[in-house]
This record gives sequence, structure tokens and C-alpha cells, in this order.
Amino acid sequence: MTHEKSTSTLSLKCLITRNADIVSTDMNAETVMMSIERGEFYGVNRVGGLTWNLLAQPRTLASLCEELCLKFDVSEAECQRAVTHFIGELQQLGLISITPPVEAA
Amino acid sequence: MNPDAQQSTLPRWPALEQALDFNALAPGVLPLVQAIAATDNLPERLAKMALLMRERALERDARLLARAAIALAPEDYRIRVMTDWLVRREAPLWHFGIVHDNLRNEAYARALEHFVKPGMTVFEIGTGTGILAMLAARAGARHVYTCERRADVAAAARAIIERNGLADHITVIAKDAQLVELGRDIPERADLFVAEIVDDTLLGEQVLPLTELARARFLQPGAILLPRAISTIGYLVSGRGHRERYRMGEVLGFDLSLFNRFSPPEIGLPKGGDNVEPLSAPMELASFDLMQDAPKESRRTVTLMATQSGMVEGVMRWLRLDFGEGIIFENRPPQTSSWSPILHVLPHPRFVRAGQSVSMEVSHTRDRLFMIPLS
Repeated sequence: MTHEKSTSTLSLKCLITRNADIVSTDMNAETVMMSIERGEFYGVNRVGGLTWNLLAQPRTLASLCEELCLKFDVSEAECQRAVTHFIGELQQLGLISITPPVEAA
Repeated sequence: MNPDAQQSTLPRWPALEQALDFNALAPGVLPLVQAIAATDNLPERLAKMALLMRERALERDARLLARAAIALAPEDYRIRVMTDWLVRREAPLWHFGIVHDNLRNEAYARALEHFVKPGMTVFEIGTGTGILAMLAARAGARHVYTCERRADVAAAARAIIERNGLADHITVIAKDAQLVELGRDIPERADLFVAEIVDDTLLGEQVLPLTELARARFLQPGAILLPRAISTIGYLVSGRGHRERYRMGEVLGFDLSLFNRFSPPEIGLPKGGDNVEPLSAPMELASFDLMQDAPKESRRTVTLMATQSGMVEGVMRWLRLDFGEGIIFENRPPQTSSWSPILHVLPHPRFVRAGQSVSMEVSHTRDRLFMIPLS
């Protein structure tokens, strides 16, 4: 599988979708993700797990940040910075796909 | 749990449901297993997942997954390597050491040949490979009941016993001795008890409580015990650097001596004693008649008189198993065996002249023997 490496173009309107071959489960204090195709495991902490769970349905980065800002005492800018970084990592690991926004005609 | 996991397929590997109890898995682990149940390289994935569970301290799940991997691919060496942590836990490496100990084997074989009479029933604690049970059967025992707490080892012993044509004469009970039931696992009290449950230190494998358990629950009054007595014998030894191997001083210009707070008061020596030089005559330091209940604790003073001058590093001791009728096992150095001698080090090496003495306090609990220098 080829993964998109660049996250520099990630915008708030990008649609984030979990990849179909990823199974996840809560285990003690972390969320473990497994790639069925590659047989690799990944673990994220409670905040990462919550973010992952919010992606059970595809959603935009803006929607994701909005939801997280409601759950945590964090500024919108700080939330966007941290989530953008996290989403970039998930993308590099092949756990999610990012669809750019459709440009208006 | 995410919705994807709940939609996973049922196992495609027909043997998986026999190899793995899905209901026993932690709820968080189950969806991962279900997701890979239909993959071609399932055994390797299970073995890898077992390692993941170990990292997360989910020991029970790790064991279940590793066992399933082995069951699905018993001949796959990759799986064997990835699950060695489980195999080692079930069958420690000392099993290989003791069966190559001819001195030990011959002592037990002679004792069993001598004491087992046709028609006798035999009870054993600690089946291991089944070698002692088979020796007892070969010596004429009507039946041998032997218990082994490690289920995998018990299964291997059963297979070995069957291969050697003795399955009709030996019953392997896959239970801890404490859980064996008279009238259920063993039909009647046995006439003879055999066990090899001593370690390098003598008492560490619970020989005292387990022999007492056997006498109280599973043996006829006056049953023969093999061995019937155990002891440890030792002498003063001169310094050959054993103590220094477990101490630190200056290394590469740094003073590491404060680490000596962790230096051990007793050291397992290489088998055969590594050419230590005795400075006194051998002396019995502690002895236990297994026909009697041992005291919970005891304390006595032993005095070892130097027969030649030298720098005393400590007291080296070894094992003696007395089977009766002159049949004795003793790994007195330089005799090698699967048991290693123990060196009780003095806090500071001491020069003694021939005729001078070193006194030691020897005490024990149910499973430990202590030696503390007094003078």
C-alpha cells in the first residue's frame, strides 16, 4: 500500500476516513489499531483513542476539531495544531485516508 | 470497540475453534482475533498478537494466543521461535540439564531397582520427562501415580510414557500436588514415594512441605521415601576471585563501589566448583530426615576448622541425597552434576592458619537455608 506522505496541504475542509482494513479496540488505557492487511499494530493513548473513535464516521478536520474543543479545555488554534499533527501521523501509518475538499467551480 | 470489528467474519481455520477458547479472551482482544481469523498466515499473526498482549501485561490472553498459534502450526519453526517465551515458561531449560546428569540418574535408578518390589504402588511429585516414573515401572511397580503441575509438561510426559510402552503402568496427573485427591486421582495410598525436588540450595523446590504432604495424604504409614534424607555438606574455601566477580571497584576511572550494596551473600558456582581450594574438612551443615516432619525453622552454629592456612573466601556447600542401603548421591566438587555448588561469601576475606576456626550460624525456613558468619 502506498501512503500519502505530505500533510502540508491538510485543510480544515479535508475529509478524513478510516481505512477499511483497520480494526481497533480499547485495551486497558489505550486504543489499539491493527492493520488486517499488513498485520501491524498501533497504540494510542486516551486522547488519541477518543479522536480515533470520533472518526468512526468520515468527517472533516474542522468537524473533528470542533468536537474535540467541546470535550477538552483547549483553544481552537491549539486544538487544530495538535489534531493536524495527529492526523498527519495516522495518515503516514496508513490508518486513514484524506480526501481534499472539492473546489468550487 | 468500533463497528468494523463487530462485522468481522467467523473463523475460517477449522482448527481455530479447538485451538482457542474465544470466550476466555478479554473483550478488547476478541475483535482483533476475529478480524484476522480468515487470514492465510493466522498462526504467525496470533503469535505476534500474543507478543503485543505481553507488552500490555495481558498475560492470560498472551498465553491463549500463543498456544493457539502453536496448535495451528506445530511444525512451523517461525512460530516456535516467536512463542519460545511460553514454551520456556512451561518447560524450563533445567529439564534438559537433569536428564543428562548421569550421576543423578544412576543414583535414582539404583535406588528404585533396590527398593521397588513387584506389586508396589509408587507416588511421585514432579513428573518432568517421566524418567523416574518409568524407572519405577521398569523396576516392577504395579502402578506409578505421578503428578506434574505444568500441563504441557504433563502432556509431553504422557506421550513419552506411551512411546516407551508403559502407559498401562503409569498415570500422569496434570495437577499441582496440593490439588491431587486420594480416591479420585490416586485410588489408594502408595507404598513408595520418589521425588527429585531439591534445587542447588537444597530447600528451594519445597522438598520439605511436599514430602510432608505426600506422607500425610498419599502414602501408606512407613512407606519408603526416595530419597529418605537430604543434607548439605561444605567446607571453607580459599579465594579464587568468585567473590570479586560480584563486586565492583574502579572501572575506566570511575568508582562504582557503591553498587556493592547489591553484592550477593551467596553465589552459585560453576558446576564442579571451578577448582576452588578447600581449607577445611567437609562437614555436614544441615540435614533433614524426610521420614519426619521438619521443624518450621531451626538455627544452629557450625564451626569449621581450617586444616591448612589460607585466605578464606567463604563456605562452599553441595548436596547429598541419601536413598538408604548405602545408595547416595553427592555432588562434592570436583564432581560435576546438574546441581551447582553454592558459595556463602564472608563479608571480608579472612586469613586463617591451620587449626583456626570459622563459625557460621546455619538456619532455615521451609524453603530457604541461610548461613551467616559469626566470628
